[in-house]
Amino acid sequence: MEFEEMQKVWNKQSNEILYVINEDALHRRVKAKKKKANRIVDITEKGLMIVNTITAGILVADAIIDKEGFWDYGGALAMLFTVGYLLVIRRKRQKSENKFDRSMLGELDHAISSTQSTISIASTMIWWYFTPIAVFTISKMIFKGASVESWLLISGAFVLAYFLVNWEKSHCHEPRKRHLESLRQKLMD
Amino acid sequence: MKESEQQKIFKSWLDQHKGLLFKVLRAYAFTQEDREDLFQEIAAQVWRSIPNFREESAVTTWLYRIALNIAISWNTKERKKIEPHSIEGMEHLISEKETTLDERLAWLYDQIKDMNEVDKSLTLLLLDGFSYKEMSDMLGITESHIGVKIHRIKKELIKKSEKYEYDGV
Repeated sequence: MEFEEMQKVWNKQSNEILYVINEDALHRRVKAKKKKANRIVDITEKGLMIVNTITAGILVADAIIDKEGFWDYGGALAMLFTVGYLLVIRRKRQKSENKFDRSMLGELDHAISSTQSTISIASTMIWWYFTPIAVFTISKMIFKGASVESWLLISGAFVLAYFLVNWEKSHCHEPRKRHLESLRQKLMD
Repeated sequence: MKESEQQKIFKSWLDQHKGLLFKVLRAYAFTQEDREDLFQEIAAQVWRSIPNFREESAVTTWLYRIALNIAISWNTKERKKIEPHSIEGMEHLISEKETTLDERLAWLYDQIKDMNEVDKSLTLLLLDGFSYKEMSDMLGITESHIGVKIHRIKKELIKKSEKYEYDGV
């Protein structure tokens, strides 16, 4: 069969409607999906920013009350830095959400770069988020004294958080990035 | 844009161009569940895109671009399992009509099914008569690169069709 003949076969029947759409169900799902996707991201971002701002406030209050607040002021500053960082990321995400005219290559590049920045956030989170908090918390525990249970609990929480961030990075984001890069390669081959 | 207006456009796009979306589903998803999932993803993105549509391109080009961009990176492994007892799980989004397909069209879809994600997109666009320029805009690669890929796809399809005509496989 020559290609022109294939095209004739395609034109003749490929526009026949092979499926029936349940429009009510589709409308419900599209609306639910839209709300769900927005809600999850929104709650996560806002939640993190609120928690970090409150924590910064508590640390500052603690520093004022104790009048020996070098570690607390440092901790508060680190927390406020993460809030600013989250705001920038949120703004960037909101801008890119409404772009629908990208080419396939543009879409893949965008997805690869988004996934890469998620991986970078996960990696830097360990150094710029957990490490400062761990240093401030542990320093405070050393200077003020803490029970064995507190030491076990706090260290356990840090180790768990470290493994969870690493697990998410290596089981979700890195395989997705590899998949996207292989698609890009197929497009460029 | 008011939601009622968005809904009106969405409905009219679906009525007029659902055939296009079904072609993408047939090329990229092979079970009822997967087709429903992919259809839902594409429909949600089409819905979101409506306020951004500026009529600089044809609706078919806009829809193809969205549907292919979703389909190419859509991965069955990432598909979230639908809760069997949830309302979502009970109602089907699309159901197959009882239609007898031309045997040669079924063969053509089988060949597309075996292609990689990028070649599937190109073959659909090619069969639907898009120009190299339009394909280049949609895929983001040069027209000459498109030409090379299409030459390879056509050659492969013709070779396979000879085998199909000779011994029916």
